[in-house]
Amino acid sequence: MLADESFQVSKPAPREVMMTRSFDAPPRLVFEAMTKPEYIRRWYGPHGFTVTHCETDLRVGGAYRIVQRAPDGSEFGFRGVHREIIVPTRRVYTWVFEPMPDKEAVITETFEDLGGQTAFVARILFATQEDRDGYLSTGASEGGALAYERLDEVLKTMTA
Amino acid sequence: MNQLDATFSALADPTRRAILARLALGEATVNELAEPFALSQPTISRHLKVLESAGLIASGRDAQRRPRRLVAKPLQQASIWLDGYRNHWALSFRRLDSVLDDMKAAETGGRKKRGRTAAKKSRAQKS
Repeated sequence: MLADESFQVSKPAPREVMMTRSFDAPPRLVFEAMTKPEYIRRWYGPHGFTVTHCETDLRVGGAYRIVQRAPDGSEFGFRGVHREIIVPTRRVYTWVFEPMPDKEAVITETFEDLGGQTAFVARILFATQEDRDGYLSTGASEGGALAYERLDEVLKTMTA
Repeated sequence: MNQLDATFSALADPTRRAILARLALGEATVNELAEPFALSQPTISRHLKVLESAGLIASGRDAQRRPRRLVAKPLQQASIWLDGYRNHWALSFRRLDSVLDDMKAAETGGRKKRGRTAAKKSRAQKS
């Protein structure tokens, strides 16, 4: 699937993580699916987790909160406040993992219209590099393929 | 800099990635590394120093030739972290794809239409 293959994660700066992904739907639908609780519940979060609580106040200064339940029954929440909203092209908001309330990040999302498709970019800016790396490591338990991607890339060009 | 940052910043340079790719095929001396890359020895040595302090390579046993070899551990750690994070989101976004398909289907009155022709948008709806 093309949209799936477009997905990239990178570390453009020491305190930043960037994700890019295209979606086969116009920005207004992608924006809606990412900001309305009835849609968020259906896709957000790690595999096997369920969203048990989701509220969003989609206004500048408005808060949101999402609670997820892990397969073992434990629950954890995220929350933050919207700083900037331009439907359906841009959203800036704070993000905090409730067990670690002092490690706040700021997420900037942009939705570019590619004629019925959307180029989505999310930049996640942390206060420190340690915060960012800690954040990245939380995804590692999901892990799967341990591939030397960058090395593979180079090897391909060398053998070409 | 912690280990992971050292790994990522060492990998950020294309020449260093090429050196690692070469070392993935077997150990090599500075001379052997300098040749295919058409780089001067001091330049290669500088890159090797960065890779060494990131713990990505080590010097071999032969004290004269000092061949370098790949150390896999930090690379594994770096790719596990980014891969894990990426996989997590890749799965979420795949679910989002199907949510979007449903939303599009609902807009076009349930007409079974997937893929490229989505450009023909129905402007009628406004939420």
